[in-house]
Amino acid sequence: MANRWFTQWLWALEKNPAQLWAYVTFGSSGAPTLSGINSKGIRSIVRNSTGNYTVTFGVSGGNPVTDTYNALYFASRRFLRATAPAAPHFYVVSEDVRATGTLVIQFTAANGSTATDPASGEIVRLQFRLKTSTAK
Amino acid sequence: MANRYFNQFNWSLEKNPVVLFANVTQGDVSTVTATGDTAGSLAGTFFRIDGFAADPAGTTYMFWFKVSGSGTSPATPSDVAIEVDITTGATAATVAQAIYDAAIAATTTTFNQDFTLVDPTTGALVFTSLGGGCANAHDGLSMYSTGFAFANAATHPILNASKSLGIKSFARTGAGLYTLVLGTPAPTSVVDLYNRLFFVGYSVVSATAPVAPLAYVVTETVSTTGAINFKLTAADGSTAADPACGEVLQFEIYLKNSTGQ
Repeated sequence: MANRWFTQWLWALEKNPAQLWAYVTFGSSGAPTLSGINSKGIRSIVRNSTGNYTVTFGVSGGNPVTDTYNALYFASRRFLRATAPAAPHFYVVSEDVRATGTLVIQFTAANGSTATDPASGEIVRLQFRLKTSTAK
Repeated sequence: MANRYFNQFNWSLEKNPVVLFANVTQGDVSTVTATGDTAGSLAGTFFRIDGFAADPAGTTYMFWFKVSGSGTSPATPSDVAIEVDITTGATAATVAQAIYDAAIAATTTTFNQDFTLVDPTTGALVFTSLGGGCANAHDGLSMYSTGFAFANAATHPILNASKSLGIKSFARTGAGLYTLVLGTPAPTSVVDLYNRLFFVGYSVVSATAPVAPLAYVVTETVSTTGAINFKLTAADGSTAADPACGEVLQFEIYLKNSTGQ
Protein backbone atom coordinates (compact mmCIF):
# COMPACT_ATOMS: atom_id res chain seq x y z
CA MET A 1 0.00 0.00 0.00
CA ALA A 2 1.14 3.52 -0.71
CA ASN A 3 2.62 4.89 2.50
CA ARG A 4 1.55 8.51 2.05
CA TRP A 5 -0.36 11.14 3.98
CA PHE A 6 -3.41 11.57 1.76
CA THR A 7 -5.93 14.39 1.89
CA GLN A 8 -9.30 12.84 2.62
CA TRP A 9 -11.56 15.43 1.03
CA LEU A 10 -12.53 16.09 -2.55
CA TRP A 11 -14.40 19.36 -2.46
CA ALA A 12 -17.40 19.93 -4.70
CA LEU A 13 -20.21 22.42 -5.13
CA GLU A 14 -22.64 19.62 -5.90
CA LYS A 15 -24.43 17.94 -3.01
CA ASN A 16 -23.53 14.30 -2.48
CA PRO A 17 -21.73 13.53 -5.71
CA ALA A 18 -21.02 9.83 -6.09
CA GLN A 19 -18.55 8.00 -8.26
CA LEU A 20 -18.97 4.47 -9.51
CA TRP A 21 -16.73 2.33 -11.62
CA ALA A 22 -17.51 -0.75 -13.64
CA TYR A 23 -14.96 -3.29 -14.73
CA VAL A 24 -16.12 -5.11 -17.84
CA THR A 25 -14.43 -7.87 -19.81
CA PHE A 26 -15.70 -8.54 -23.30
CA GLY A 27 -15.97 -11.94 -24.89
CA SER A 28 -16.85 -13.05 -28.40
CA SER A 29 -19.51 -11.01 -30.19
CA GLY A 30 -19.15 -8.26 -27.62
CA ALA A 31 -20.57 -10.30 -24.75
CA PRO A 32 -19.86 -8.35 -21.54
CA THR A 33 -18.91 -9.86 -18.20
CA LEU A 34 -19.09 -7.63 -15.16
CA SER A 35 -16.50 -8.10 -12.45
CA GLY A 36 -18.62 -7.70 -9.34
CA ILE A 37 -15.78 -7.09 -6.92
CA ASN A 38 -14.52 -4.26 -9.14
CA SER A 39 -17.94 -2.84 -9.99
CA LYS A 40 -19.60 -1.74 -6.78
CA GLY A 41 -22.96 -0.10 -7.41
CA ILE A 42 -23.36 -1.65 -10.85
CA ARG A 43 -26.16 -4.18 -11.15
CA SER A 44 -25.67 -5.27 -14.72
CA ILE A 45 -24.45 -4.50 -18.20
CA VAL A 46 -26.38 -6.00 -21.09
CA ARG A 47 -25.59 -5.95 -24.79
CA ASN A 48 -28.50 -4.65 -26.86
CA SER A 49 -26.91 -4.60 -30.30
CA THR A 50 -23.52 -4.04 -31.87
CA GLY A 51 -21.52 -1.87 -29.50
CA ASN A 52 -24.69 -0.86 -27.66
CA TYR A 53 -25.06 -1.67 -23.97
CA THR A 54 -27.44 -0.89 -21.13
CA VAL A 55 -25.87 -0.30 -17.75
CA THR A 56 -28.10 -0.65 -14.69
CA PHE A 57 -27.05 0.74 -11.33
CA GLY A 58 -27.62 -1.23 -8.13
CA VAL A 59 -26.43 -4.56 -6.84
CA SER A 60 -26.47 -7.96 -8.48
CA GLY A 61 -26.35 -11.39 -6.93
CA GLY A 62 -29.03 -13.26 -5.04
CA ASN A 63 -31.05 -10.21 -4.08
CA PRO A 64 -30.60 -7.76 -6.94
CA VAL A 65 -31.70 -4.17 -6.40
CA THR A 66 -31.76 -1.25 -8.80
CA ASP A 67 -30.42 2.09 -7.60
CA THR A 68 -31.69 5.38 -8.97
CA TYR A 69 -29.89 8.73 -8.83
CA ASN A 70 -30.96 12.33 -9.25
CA ALA A 71 -28.66 13.21 -12.11
CA LEU A 72 -25.88 11.91 -14.27
CA TYR A 73 -22.96 14.33 -14.33
CA PHE A 74 -20.47 12.44 -16.36
CA ALA A 75 -19.69 9.10 -17.94
CA SER A 76 -16.45 7.94 -19.42
CA ARG A 77 -14.33 4.89 -20.16
CA ARG A 78 -10.75 3.71 -20.33
CA PHE A 79 -9.58 0.61 -22.11
CA LEU A 80 -7.08 -1.66 -20.41
CA ARG A 81 -5.34 -3.28 -23.31
CA ALA A 82 -1.91 -3.50 -24.83
CA THR A 83 -3.01 -2.80 -28.39
CA ALA A 84 -5.39 -0.28 -29.92
CA PRO A 85 -8.99 -1.03 -28.91
CA ALA A 86 -11.44 -2.11 -31.58
CA ALA A 87 -14.02 0.46 -30.49
CA PRO A 88 -12.15 3.39 -28.96
CA HIS A 89 -14.99 5.91 -29.09
CA PHE A 90 -17.88 6.02 -26.69
CA TYR A 91 -20.92 8.13 -26.04
CA VAL A 92 -24.07 8.07 -23.94
CA VAL A 93 -27.10 7.42 -26.13
CA SER A 94 -29.64 8.07 -23.40
CA GLU A 95 -29.89 8.07 -19.64
CA ASP A 96 -32.73 7.52 -17.22
CA VAL A 97 -30.90 7.39 -13.92
CA ARG A 98 -33.75 9.06 -12.03
CA ALA A 99 -36.50 6.62 -12.95
CA THR A 100 -34.96 3.31 -13.94
CA GLY A 101 -31.33 3.66 -12.86
CA THR A 102 -30.10 2.94 -16.36
CA LEU A 103 -28.14 4.47 -19.17
CA VAL A 104 -27.44 3.27 -22.68
CA ILE A 105 -23.92 3.60 -24.04
CA GLN A 106 -22.54 3.11 -27.52
CA PHE A 107 -19.04 2.08 -28.56
CA THR A 108 -17.90 2.98 -32.05
CA ALA A 109 -14.91 2.37 -34.29
CA ALA A 110 -12.09 4.85 -34.77
CA ASN A 111 -14.18 6.76 -37.30
CA GLY A 112 -16.48 7.73 -34.45
CA SER A 113 -19.67 6.55 -36.13
CA THR A 114 -19.57 2.83 -36.96
CA ALA A 115 -21.13 0.85 -34.14
CA THR A 116 -18.53 -1.69 -33.04
CA ASP A 117 -18.23 -4.25 -30.26
CA PRO A 118 -15.12 -4.19 -28.11
CA ALA A 119 -12.91 -7.09 -29.18
CA SER A 120 -12.83 -10.35 -27.31
CA GLY A 121 -10.49 -10.09 -24.36
CA GLU A 122 -10.68 -6.33 -24.07
CA ILE A 123 -11.26 -4.85 -20.65
CA VAL A 124 -13.01 -1.53 -20.11
CA ARG A 125 -13.16 0.58 -17.00
CA LEU A 126 -16.35 2.63 -17.04
CA GLN A 127 -16.64 5.69 -14.81
CA PHE A 128 -19.91 7.30 -13.73
CA ARG A 129 -20.40 10.51 -11.73
CA LEU A 130 -23.88 10.78 -10.24
CA LYS A 131 -25.89 12.94 -7.90
CA THR A 132 -27.34 11.27 -4.81
CA SER A 133 -29.19 14.24 -3.43
CA THR A 134 -32.36 16.12 -4.26
CA ALA A 135 -30.85 19.35 -2.94
CA LYS A 136 -30.02 22.06 -5.42
CA MET B 1 -32.52 7.37 -4.57
CA ALA B 2 -29.72 4.89 -4.20
CA ASN B 3 -29.98 3.43 -0.70
CA ARG B 4 -26.29 2.71 -0.22
CA TYR B 5 -23.58 3.51 2.26
CA PHE B 6 -21.26 5.64 0.20
CA ASN B 7 -17.76 6.43 1.33
CA GLN B 8 -17.49 10.12 2.01
CA PHE B 9 -13.78 10.44 1.44
CA ASN B 10 -11.78 10.64 -1.73
CA TRP B 11 -8.17 10.34 -0.72
CA SER B 12 -5.60 12.39 -2.52
CA LEU B 13 -2.05 13.61 -2.14
CA GLU B 14 -3.08 17.06 -3.34
CA LYS B 15 -4.25 19.73 -0.93
CA ASN B 16 -7.88 20.77 -1.36
CA PRO B 17 -8.69 19.12 -4.66
CA VAL B 18 -12.02 20.26 -6.12
CA VAL B 19 -14.25 18.60 -8.70
CA LEU B 20 -16.70 20.58 -10.82
CA PHE B 21 -19.06 19.42 -13.51
CA ALA B 22 -20.33 21.29 -16.54
CA ASN B 23 -23.35 20.34 -18.64
CA VAL B 24 -23.88 22.09 -21.96
CA THR B 25 -26.52 21.63 -24.64
CA GLN B 26 -25.65 22.73 -28.14
CA GLY B 27 -28.26 24.99 -29.68
CA ASP B 28 -28.85 26.59 -33.03
CA VAL B 29 -28.37 30.14 -34.21
CA SER B 30 -30.94 30.86 -36.88
CA THR B 31 -30.32 33.28 -39.71
CA VAL B 32 -33.22 34.63 -41.74
CA THR B 33 -32.33 36.47 -44.92
CA ALA B 34 -35.26 38.58 -46.01
CA THR B 35 -36.08 39.54 -49.57
CA GLY B 36 -37.82 42.68 -50.74
CA ASP B 37 -41.49 43.03 -51.56
CA THR B 38 -42.64 43.12 -55.15
CA ALA B 39 -46.06 44.63 -55.73
CA GLY B 40 -47.40 43.31 -52.46
CA SER B 41 -45.92 39.84 -52.86
CA LEU B 42 -45.31 39.50 -49.12
CA ALA B 43 -48.86 40.38 -48.07
CA GLY B 44 -50.27 37.63 -45.87
CA THR B 45 -47.10 35.54 -45.97
CA PHE B 46 -45.31 34.41 -42.85
CA PHE B 47 -42.35 32.58 -41.38
CA ARG B 48 -41.96 30.85 -38.04
CA ILE B 49 -39.31 30.58 -35.39
CA ASP B 50 -39.39 28.34 -32.32
CA GLY B 51 -38.30 29.46 -28.87
CA PHE B 52 -37.70 27.41 -25.74
CA ALA B 53 -36.39 29.68 -22.97
CA ALA B 54 -39.69 31.09 -21.73
CA ASP B 55 -41.49 27.82 -22.35
CA PRO B 56 -39.33 24.66 -22.43
CA ALA B 57 -42.03 22.86 -24.39
CA GLY B 58 -41.56 25.43 -27.13
CA THR B 59 -43.40 28.49 -28.32
CA THR B 60 -43.66 29.14 -32.03
CA TYR B 61 -43.66 32.75 -33.14
CA MET B 62 -45.18 33.58 -36.50
CA PHE B 63 -44.07 36.77 -38.20
CA TRP B 64 -46.66 37.72 -40.81
CA PHE B 65 -46.66 40.63 -43.23
CA LYS B 66 -49.15 43.36 -43.89
CA VAL B 67 -48.15 45.33 -47.00
CA SER B 68 -49.52 48.88 -47.23
CA GLY B 69 -52.52 47.71 -45.19
CA SER B 70 -53.15 44.57 -47.23
CA GLY B 71 -52.87 41.02 -45.90
CA THR B 72 -54.38 39.16 -42.98
CA SER B 73 -52.94 36.99 -40.26
CA PRO B 74 -52.80 33.36 -41.39
CA ALA B 75 -54.91 30.98 -39.34
CA THR B 76 -52.26 29.29 -37.21
CA PRO B 77 -53.91 29.40 -33.80
CA SER B 78 -51.16 27.58 -31.95
CA ASP B 79 -48.60 30.20 -32.92
CA VAL B 80 -47.93 33.54 -31.30
CA ALA B 81 -48.53 36.00 -34.13
CA ILE B 82 -46.33 39.07 -34.61
CA GLU B 83 -47.50 41.48 -37.29
CA VAL B 84 -44.89 43.13 -39.51
CA ASP B 85 -46.02 46.25 -41.36
CA ILE B 86 -44.20 47.24 -44.53
CA THR B 87 -45.04 49.24 -47.63
CA THR B 88 -45.32 47.99 -51.18
CA GLY B 89 -41.93 47.59 -52.80
CA ALA B 90 -40.00 47.63 -49.52
CA THR B 91 -36.38 46.60 -49.96
CA ALA B 92 -34.87 43.56 -48.28
CA ALA B 93 -33.10 45.76 -45.76
CA THR B 94 -36.33 47.60 -44.97
CA VAL B 95 -38.18 44.31 -44.53
CA ALA B 96 -35.46 43.04 -42.19
CA GLN B 97 -35.61 46.21 -40.16
CA ALA B 98 -39.40 45.97 -39.94
CA ILE B 99 -39.14 42.39 -38.64
CA TYR B 100 -36.61 43.52 -36.06
CA ASP B 101 -38.75 46.45 -34.95
CA ALA B 102 -41.87 44.28 -34.68
CA ALA B 103 -40.01 41.66 -32.64
CA ILE B 104 -38.56 44.16 -30.21
CA ALA B 105 -41.95 45.83 -29.84
CA ALA B 106 -43.75 42.55 -29.17
CA THR B 107 -43.60 43.03 -25.44
CA THR B 108 -46.92 41.28 -24.89
CA THR B 109 -45.30 38.04 -26.05
CA THR B 110 -42.39 36.07 -24.62
CA PHE B 111 -40.30 36.58 -27.76
CA ASN B 112 -37.75 38.78 -26.03
CA GLN B 113 -37.31 36.14 -23.33
CA ASP B 114 -36.68 33.48 -25.97
CA PHE B 115 -34.33 35.26 -28.35
CA THR B 116 -31.73 37.91 -28.76
CA LEU B 117 -31.89 39.65 -32.11
CA VAL B 118 -29.24 41.97 -33.52
CA ASP B 119 -30.37 45.13 -35.25
CA PRO B 120 -29.91 44.27 -38.94
CA THR B 121 -27.67 46.31 -41.18
CA THR B 122 -28.23 44.03 -44.17
CA GLY B 123 -31.02 41.68 -45.15
CA ALA B 124 -29.91 39.04 -42.67
CA LEU B 125 -31.46 38.70 -39.24
CA VAL B 126 -29.70 36.54 -36.70
CA PHE B 127 -31.95 35.01 -34.05
CA THR B 128 -30.00 33.58 -31.14
CA SER B 129 -32.13 31.28 -29.07
CA LEU B 130 -31.72 31.64 -25.34
CA GLY B 131 -33.25 28.25 -24.66
CA GLY B 132 -31.79 25.98 -27.31
CA GLY B 133 -33.83 24.08 -29.81
CA CYS B 134 -32.84 22.94 -33.27
CA ALA B 135 -33.76 24.11 -36.77
CA ASN B 136 -35.80 26.85 -35.18
CA ALA B 137 -36.45 29.03 -38.22
CA HIS B 138 -38.64 27.85 -41.07
CA ASP B 139 -40.78 29.35 -43.77
CA GLY B 140 -44.55 29.46 -43.92
CA LEU B 141 -46.39 26.74 -45.76
CA SER B 142 -47.03 26.67 -49.51
CA MET B 143 -48.92 29.74 -50.67
CA TYR B 144 -48.04 31.60 -47.48
CA SER B 145 -44.29 31.20 -47.77
CA THR B 146 -42.10 34.29 -47.83
CA GLY B 147 -39.36 32.85 -50.01
CA PHE B 148 -36.80 34.06 -47.49
CA ALA B 149 -33.62 32.05 -46.91
CA PHE B 150 -33.39 30.20 -43.60
CA ALA B 151 -30.23 28.76 -42.08
CA ASN B 152 -29.65 27.12 -38.74
CA ALA B 153 -26.12 26.67 -37.44
CA ALA B 154 -25.24 24.63 -34.35
CA THR B 155 -22.99 27.25 -32.83
CA HIS B 156 -24.77 28.29 -29.66
CA PRO B 157 -23.86 26.29 -26.55
CA ILE B 158 -26.23 26.72 -23.63
CA LEU B 159 -24.95 26.07 -20.12
CA ASN B 160 -27.38 24.04 -18.01
CA ALA B 161 -26.84 25.95 -14.79
CA SER B 162 -28.45 23.43 -12.43
CA LYS B 163 -25.91 20.80 -13.49
CA SER B 164 -22.98 23.20 -13.73
CA LEU B 165 -22.36 24.60 -10.28
CA GLY B 166 -19.15 26.62 -10.22
CA ILE B 167 -19.23 27.34 -13.94
CA LYS B 168 -19.74 30.95 -15.00
CA SER B 169 -20.02 30.55 -18.75
CA PHE B 170 -19.34 28.39 -21.76
CA ALA B 171 -19.00 30.20 -25.05
CA ARG B 172 -17.99 29.42 -28.60
CA THR B 173 -15.01 31.40 -29.88
CA GLY B 174 -14.52 29.76 -33.29
CA ALA B 175 -15.04 26.52 -35.16
CA GLY B 176 -14.77 23.81 -32.51
CA LEU B 177 -13.28 26.29 -30.06
CA TYR B 178 -14.97 26.93 -26.74
CA THR B 179 -14.05 28.79 -23.58
CA LEU B 180 -15.28 27.70 -20.18
CA VAL B 181 -14.99 30.21 -17.35
CA LEU B 182 -15.12 29.11 -13.72
CA GLY B 183 -17.34 31.01 -11.30
CA THR B 184 -21.01 31.84 -11.10
CA PRO B 185 -23.25 32.92 -13.97
CA ALA B 186 -25.34 36.07 -14.21
CA PRO B 187 -26.66 37.92 -12.34
CA THR B 188 -23.78 37.53 -9.88
CA SER B 189 -21.20 36.91 -12.64
CA VAL B 190 -18.22 36.17 -10.45
CA VAL B 191 -15.05 34.57 -11.79
CA ASP B 192 -13.46 31.93 -9.56
CA LEU B 193 -9.72 31.40 -9.68
CA TYR B 194 -7.98 28.17 -8.76
CA ASN B 195 -4.35 27.37 -8.21
CA ARG B 196 -4.09 24.67 -10.79
CA LEU B 197 -5.97 22.53 -13.25
CA PHE B 198 -5.39 18.85 -12.56
CA PHE B 199 -7.58 17.08 -15.08
CA VAL B 200 -10.52 17.46 -17.43
CA GLY B 201 -12.83 14.72 -18.67
CA TYR B 202 -15.23 15.08 -21.59
CA SER B 203 -18.15 12.97 -22.73
CA VAL B 204 -21.20 13.39 -24.93
CA VAL B 205 -24.84 12.39 -24.58
CA SER B 206 -26.37 11.96 -28.01
CA ALA B 207 -28.93 9.72 -29.64
CA THR B 208 -26.63 9.31 -32.63
CA ALA B 209 -22.87 9.28 -33.09
CA PRO B 210 -21.59 12.65 -31.85
CA VAL B 211 -20.05 15.06 -34.32
CA ALA B 212 -17.34 16.07 -31.85
CA PRO B 213 -16.56 13.01 -29.72
CA LEU B 214 -13.18 14.26 -28.56
CA ALA B 215 -11.85 17.35 -26.83
CA TYR B 216 -8.57 18.65 -25.58
CA VAL B 217 -7.44 21.65 -23.58
CA VAL B 218 -5.75 24.19 -25.83
CA THR B 219 -4.77 26.58 -23.05
CA GLU B 220 -5.83 27.21 -19.48
CA THR B 221 -5.44 30.18 -17.17
CA VAL B 222 -7.40 29.01 -14.16
CA SER B 223 -5.09 30.87 -11.79
CA THR B 224 -5.44 34.27 -13.47
CA THR B 225 -8.69 34.44 -15.48
CA GLY B 226 -10.47 31.22 -14.48
CA ALA B 227 -10.63 30.15 -18.11
CA ILE B 228 -10.15 26.83 -19.87
CA ASN B 229 -10.01 26.86 -23.67
CA PHE B 230 -11.12 23.67 -25.37
CA LYS B 231 -10.91 22.40 -28.89
CA LEU B 232 -13.61 19.90 -29.79
CA THR B 233 -12.74 17.61 -32.64
CA ALA B 234 -14.06 14.95 -34.95
CA ALA B 235 -13.17 11.33 -34.34
CA ASP B 236 -9.78 11.83 -35.97
CA GLY B 237 -8.73 13.91 -32.99
CA SER B 238 -7.60 16.91 -35.01
CA THR B 239 -10.39 18.30 -37.20
CA ALA B 240 -12.22 21.07 -35.37
CA ALA B 241 -15.90 20.26 -35.03
CA ASP B 242 -18.91 21.92 -33.47
CA PRO B 243 -21.28 19.52 -31.72
CA ALA B 244 -24.55 18.98 -33.50
CA CYS B 245 -27.62 20.75 -32.23
CA GLY B 246 -29.14 18.89 -29.30
CA GLU B 247 -25.98 17.10 -28.27
CA VAL B 248 -25.22 17.36 -24.56
CA LEU B 249 -21.61 17.88 -23.51
CA GLN B 250 -20.48 16.78 -20.06
CA PHE B 251 -17.25 17.95 -18.47
CA GLU B 252 -15.57 16.76 -15.28
CA ILE B 253 -12.98 19.24 -14.04
CA TYR B 254 -10.47 18.67 -11.24
CA LEU B 255 -8.80 21.73 -9.75
CA LYS B 256 -6.50 22.68 -6.93
CA ASN B 257 -7.95 25.17 -4.48
CA SER B 258 -4.96 25.65 -2.25
CA THR B 259 -1.58 27.34 -2.33
CA GLY B 260 -0.21 24.49 -0.23
CA GLN B 261 2.42 22.32 -1.88
